[in-house]
Amino acid sequence: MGRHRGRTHEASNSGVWEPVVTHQGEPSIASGEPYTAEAERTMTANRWIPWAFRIGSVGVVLLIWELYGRAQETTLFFVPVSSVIAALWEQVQTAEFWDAFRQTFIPFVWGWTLSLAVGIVAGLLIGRFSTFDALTKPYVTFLNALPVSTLVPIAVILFGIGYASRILVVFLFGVVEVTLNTAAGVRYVNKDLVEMGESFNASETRLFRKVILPASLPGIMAGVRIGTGRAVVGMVVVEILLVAVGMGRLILRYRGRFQSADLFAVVLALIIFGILLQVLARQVERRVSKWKYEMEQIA
Amino acid sequence: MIEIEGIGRRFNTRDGGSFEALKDVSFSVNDKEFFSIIGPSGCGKTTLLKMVAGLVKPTAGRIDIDGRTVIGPGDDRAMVFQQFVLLPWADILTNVGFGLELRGMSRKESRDAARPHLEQVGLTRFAEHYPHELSGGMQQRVGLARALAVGPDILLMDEPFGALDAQTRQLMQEDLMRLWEVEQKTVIFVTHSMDEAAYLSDRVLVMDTHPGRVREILDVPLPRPREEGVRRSPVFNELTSHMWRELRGMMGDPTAPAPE
Amino acid sequence: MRGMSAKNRSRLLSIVGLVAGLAIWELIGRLELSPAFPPVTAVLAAIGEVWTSPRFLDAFRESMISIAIALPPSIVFGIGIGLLLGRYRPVEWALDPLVNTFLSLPLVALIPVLFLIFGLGRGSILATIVIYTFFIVVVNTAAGVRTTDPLIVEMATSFGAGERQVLRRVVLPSALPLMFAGVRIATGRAIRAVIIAEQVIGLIGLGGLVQRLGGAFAVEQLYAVILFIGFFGLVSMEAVSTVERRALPWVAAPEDIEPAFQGA
Repeated sequence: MGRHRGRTHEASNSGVWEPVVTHQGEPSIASGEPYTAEAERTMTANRWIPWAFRIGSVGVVLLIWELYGRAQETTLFFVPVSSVIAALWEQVQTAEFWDAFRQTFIPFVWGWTLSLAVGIVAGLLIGRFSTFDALTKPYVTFLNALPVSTLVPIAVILFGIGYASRILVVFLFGVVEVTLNTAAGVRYVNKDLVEMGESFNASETRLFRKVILPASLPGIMAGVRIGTGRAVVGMVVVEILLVAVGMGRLILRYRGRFQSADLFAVVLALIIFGILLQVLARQVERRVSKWKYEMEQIA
Repeated sequence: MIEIEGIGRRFNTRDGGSFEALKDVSFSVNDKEFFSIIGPSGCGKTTLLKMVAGLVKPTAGRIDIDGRTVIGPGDDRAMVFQQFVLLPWADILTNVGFGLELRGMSRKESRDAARPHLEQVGLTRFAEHYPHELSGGMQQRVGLARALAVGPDILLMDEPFGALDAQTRQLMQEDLMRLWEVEQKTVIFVTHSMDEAAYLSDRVLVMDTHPGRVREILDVPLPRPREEGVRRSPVFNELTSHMWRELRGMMGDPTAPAPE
Repeated sequence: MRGMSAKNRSRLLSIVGLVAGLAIWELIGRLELSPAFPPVTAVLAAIGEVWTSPRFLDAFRESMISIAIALPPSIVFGIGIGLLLGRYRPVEWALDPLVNTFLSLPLVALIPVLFLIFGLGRGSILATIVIYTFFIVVVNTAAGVRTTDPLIVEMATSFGAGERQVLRRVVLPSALPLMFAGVRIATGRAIRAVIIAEQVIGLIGLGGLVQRLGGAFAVEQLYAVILFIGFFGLVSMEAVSTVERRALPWVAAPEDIEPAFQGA
């Protein structure tokens, strides 16, 4: 008994093929929902396992740090993490600490803001106008390859050891990445978008304001994030190479006196500051580039 | 009326030579006509469309619209793109009004002016949504609404349904026909699909390739308004078969019959 | 100008920009507007004298020795850990937070700590190079491993390949482009690391030389050294890129590969 496939052209009278159903399918199961308790349990378990690992590994590291620190015979070189936290806790309650922080922070803010302002403008010009790109390319390439810390002595010769040279150093550290990322953000705007804008006969300024600038914003924000990180590095470089004031002075003092816990504490404070700023920059970047991330999820 | 006269286009190649994309293309498009251009890949049909749009300049010949030569984009023409090209950071309503915004309207004004056009394509519900939340067919409707919103006399459509699946594509063709019957615009429509060209158009330009040039212009003697059933009529089949024979010959198929 | 290809035109413009900048610098130098900007000609004269002096060559050798000792093991271990991290989820869960933490913080801040632990000598310099380069290589290698197309892995297992073979013949080649990107970035960072560490010590290597020349206000010579360091950086990156291109004939433009992380 063969499968009934429907009447053929010759056999029917009307000359028209009529569909004959040979198999009725099952109704489809609603997708995406666990339909057994078993499946549900596995899925929730899978979610907290990675977190357990993560917390576990951080905990293990801290534990090793603590034990190794305690195992030391002397506190001159390495100290347990508890001492560092304690030292930091004490320091943040002193006026001296915050004075030092302020003296470090002020030139940082100025240099950082300058690097963003100059970097974004330069990046926009470089990304949009190939002429400008070509003219500045030798300088940008060189500055990108050079360890900026080598320019610190030049800054000192130029401005002495006051705020001006510090601002300059922070600026130099940040400006290159901001420029390069902004330029990339502008350069790699989807050509289709630009063509669409042109097809509506938009003027150059309007095209720039309404199409190119919004489309480059994710790239610019990436530049801001990375440039901020570099500016923080610049701030710390200033502190360890130009040590007259600020946190650098504290570092030098504690190192000279082998007050390890206090030294670690200051370093930790700087690190926390750097991480906080990065997290903030990343949040802002995510907000602004929300549409891009959502697009990439779909793709 | 659009007059394309003696259009040619040369491109410089990387090794210093040049490549002729279009050669001596001449034809005209009547007012309110639905005019399709079909041809094998690389025949320059998209380049030709962009020339009418004013985005690309010809290296020979010229294009006149109602007697005035095209020198760049203008208010009388609007384009619909194969990849939709919507602004991912703006919502649907803003996208529809974007053409107006580019011409100087404020965002608020353009959004207000865009509403009726959004309704025309049946997407009023999605005004505040974002492009990535919409399907391909819906996104292209937004693209179409955006083009209509600037009130052009001429719609230039560059394989607008090429990025859609076959079923959506057919629905969109029917919707486009209904819309066109109401709007009565001149349309130049570039496509790869013979079925599409036959179903939608009043006349079809078949292009040859290497270099791109006019092979023939076919009349589409099918009744308007075009119903779905017209796809099965003998005239339709004849037309598409003829187009296929022509195109196949151009694509260098060794089993094709020799060109007449 | 019009007949020129776009590439040549931009090259010409770059040269014009360079010459113009040097001319302005020369002018500023001649006008003696600041001790920080000696005339270009003076710097060029200093280059000849400095780059051949034994003091400079010794310093260069010292820096190179540090990099030669610290960088290769850092890369090798970085690749090893990165492969494990990319391939095995539990390893990723365990080590990811550590790696990411080290990448988010300003590593420079750890230099005083390293100096406390390892003393004011080569040990600290080596440690600095290691922390600057190890994590970058790990992250990029791991990312490279993750780009392995699961379909290719599936295909290989369908032909009977075991885990070892899959690693060697599918995962490793897939990961190579990003691995190389990581090595390239690490090379640049190694140079930065050795310089800054030497600057903090102030006595040995090129970094030490920079500090001493700066302290002595020997500006022309200082610029000569800075220019050397910059060019050396460029040349080494080019060298790595060349090796990259040879090793990855199937990748069109290895230097354009977006690295997983560049770090601060």
